[in-house]
Amino acid sequence: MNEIISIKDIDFSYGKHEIFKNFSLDVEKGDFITIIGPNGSGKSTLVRILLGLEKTTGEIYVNSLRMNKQNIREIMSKIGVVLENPDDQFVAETVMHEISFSLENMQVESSEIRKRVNKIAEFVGIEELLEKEPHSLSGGQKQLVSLASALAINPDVLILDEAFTMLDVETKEKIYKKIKYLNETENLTILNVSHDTEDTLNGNKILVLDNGKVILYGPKEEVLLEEKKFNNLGLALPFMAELSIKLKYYDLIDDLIFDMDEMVNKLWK
Amino acid sequence: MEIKFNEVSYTYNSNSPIKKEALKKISLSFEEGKVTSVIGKAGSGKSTMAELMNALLFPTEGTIEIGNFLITSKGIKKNKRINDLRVNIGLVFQLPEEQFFNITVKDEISFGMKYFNYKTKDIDKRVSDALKMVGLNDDYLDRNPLTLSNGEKRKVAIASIIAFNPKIIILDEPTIGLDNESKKNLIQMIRKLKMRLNKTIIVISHDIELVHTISDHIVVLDNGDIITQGDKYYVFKQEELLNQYGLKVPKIIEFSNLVYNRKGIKIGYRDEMNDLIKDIYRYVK
Amino acid sequence: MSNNFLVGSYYPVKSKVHFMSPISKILCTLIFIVTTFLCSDPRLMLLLSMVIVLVTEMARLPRRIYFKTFKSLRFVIVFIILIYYLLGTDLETVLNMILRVINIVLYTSVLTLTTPPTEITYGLQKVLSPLRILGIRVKKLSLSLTFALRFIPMFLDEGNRILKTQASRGIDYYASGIKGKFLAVKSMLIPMYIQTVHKIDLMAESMQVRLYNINNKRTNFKKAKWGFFDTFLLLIHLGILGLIIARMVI
Repeated sequence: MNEIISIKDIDFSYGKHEIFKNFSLDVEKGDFITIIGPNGSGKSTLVRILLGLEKTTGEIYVNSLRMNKQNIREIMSKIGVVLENPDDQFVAETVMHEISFSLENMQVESSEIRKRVNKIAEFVGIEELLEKEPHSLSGGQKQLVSLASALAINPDVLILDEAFTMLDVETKEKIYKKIKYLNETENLTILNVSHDTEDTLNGNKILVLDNGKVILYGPKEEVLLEEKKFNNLGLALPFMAELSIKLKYYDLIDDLIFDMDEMVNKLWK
Repeated sequence: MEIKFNEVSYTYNSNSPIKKEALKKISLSFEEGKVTSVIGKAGSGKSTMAELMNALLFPTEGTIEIGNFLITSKGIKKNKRINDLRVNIGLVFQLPEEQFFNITVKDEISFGMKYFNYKTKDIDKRVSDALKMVGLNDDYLDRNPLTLSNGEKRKVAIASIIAFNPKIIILDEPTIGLDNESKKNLIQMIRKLKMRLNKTIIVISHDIELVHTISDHIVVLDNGDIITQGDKYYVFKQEELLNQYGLKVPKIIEFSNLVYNRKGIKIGYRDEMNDLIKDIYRYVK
Repeated sequence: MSNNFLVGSYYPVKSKVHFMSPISKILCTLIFIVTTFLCSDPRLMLLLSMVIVLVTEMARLPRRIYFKTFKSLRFVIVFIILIYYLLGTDLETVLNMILRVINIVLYTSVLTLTTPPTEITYGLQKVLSPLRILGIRVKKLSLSLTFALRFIPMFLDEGNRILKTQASRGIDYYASGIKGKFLAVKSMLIPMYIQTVHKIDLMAESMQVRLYNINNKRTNFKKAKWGFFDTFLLLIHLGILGLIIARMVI
């Protein structure tokens, strides 16, 4: 099985409100999927389900392990999460202890913890923040700490749930650079739930949800051609996608082009 | 009503090792009847500025003139009451829905007015008008605010501020967490407030596309200083400068600038995609 | 961001006291408190106050903690004077009592100002661990304490934020009379409750997702270690306690 996550026929309701019915989804190892959809489409619920926070009917497999009480710990030790508001998850007094939190829970040995914390802090670029109090940091720095905490456990899957809503452009680009690197070199599977359709250009696949159903799922080059479906859901297309579609209509280019430089060169050879 | 900052500085925790200078001798004006946006990285001083304008904070140095009111480091001059100032200024915080505590939308919206001493019969009318202004109707009056969707909650929160008809409206990150539809509604609402009611509107946001769509004047802050200000053509032309301070320009401008830099072709400042397409078509063929 | 830094929260400077092991600091606090209770002479009580001043200086804490402590204790002091006046006790005893209260509060302030909350609870957990023999769930207790401490600043910040939002709508706590203040608090409690419960839920879930389990063993990574200064300060405290006891006996 090349699927790192396999969701088979799940149902989930929140009280009387039905969110998912007969929902299925397969995620291949190494995929970088941006999950978008209007408010209430089930994006965040899907994340909660994958994190074992909600019980569903049907079957969910992560890394070939069936999600149940016995396996949940092992599954979660391979999933790293970055949430929207890092303040909601900080537990420690220093950044160093924040990053080591999961490792401490996994009973990793102290010297190994120190090694990993230093390594990940260096990778993310926050070595000078290690002794600082997480709450005293700027919003961008906080999210970098959150990212480091998630990556410290060496996850197979990284889930970002609206992780960029409160961030400035600089930090956002920094984070994308790091996770793309991990996606490309270490085959880290990434699920990025976002409100901002521009984010879809960063991954390789897009999942569009509405009312608990899969509307579109596939490579971005295909999904972003579905202008009508996007409009029907009240979703904006990313700038380059919209530009490409319109220019294609006037026969000025042949395919979707996502990179501005490439577009300029294509138009004016 | 105009707002004027005169050499205003604000320092947090001035006596402790974690003191932070949020604003450094800022001087600027917010013109009446116009939409002014304040942009800048997180920590640039934007939110501090909003709180200073509503007398939630008093400047460490300098003065702020709001209409006839003068705010100094000691408070409001001429012994005016704070509420006399605040009835003129509607400050909508980030995530305003976090302040809900009433059982019905009607109570939530009329709450402010009761304390600004409006008569009851006026209140009912104002509540309906406020709802209409944000794109909701009287059906919402009896609903529980906490059961509404995110977009609806945001609208109700904004309605509760515009209900007491402030002359100045300050929106702090109004588009956070909103989907595309709600953003469009918000933009329409801002335009209505400006055009029909001549309100002075101040938007603090890092949503560059929003700022591009609605602003008459843009102020760029970084680390408590003003980097540049002007109309959007002037500000967004300085792409390199903005990038230096961690800010981007709207994608449509980024593209036009790139075309000019790479191919020497001046597409010109375009607000709309369709106009851009027309220009590209013209220059390519 | 609260502008008031001193009542009990951690004051982040680098000092010998800040770097001490939380275990020794808590032991010193306990010994000090016991000492104050054994002291019946206001002059000796003042001597203990001098010890506090010494430690405060070594901890590089600002002088205004004295002022803030007096200010926050002013009602307690008046109350004590009243009680003693009604019971007809002598001035010396009253003075002793007042100084005792001030000393204890000041000293524990120094503890919380120089020790981050998780270190305090780690220290408490270790110091109280002998109590496990009596069946007391020390670990669970110290965890509850950590989170109570962790949530207080969050709670206060949230409260502050909501006060500002309500001020924008007409209810300004600071600019109102009693009635206004009452209404401000009322308009603040519900959203504060909702928001705090929501945040607590989020945090609990996040901890669960990060594999926290109270019943499991976990690595205790790099808490402040015991050093020379710890032994030094502990011996001084024990010495003072010894002197007081000796003076009582002789």
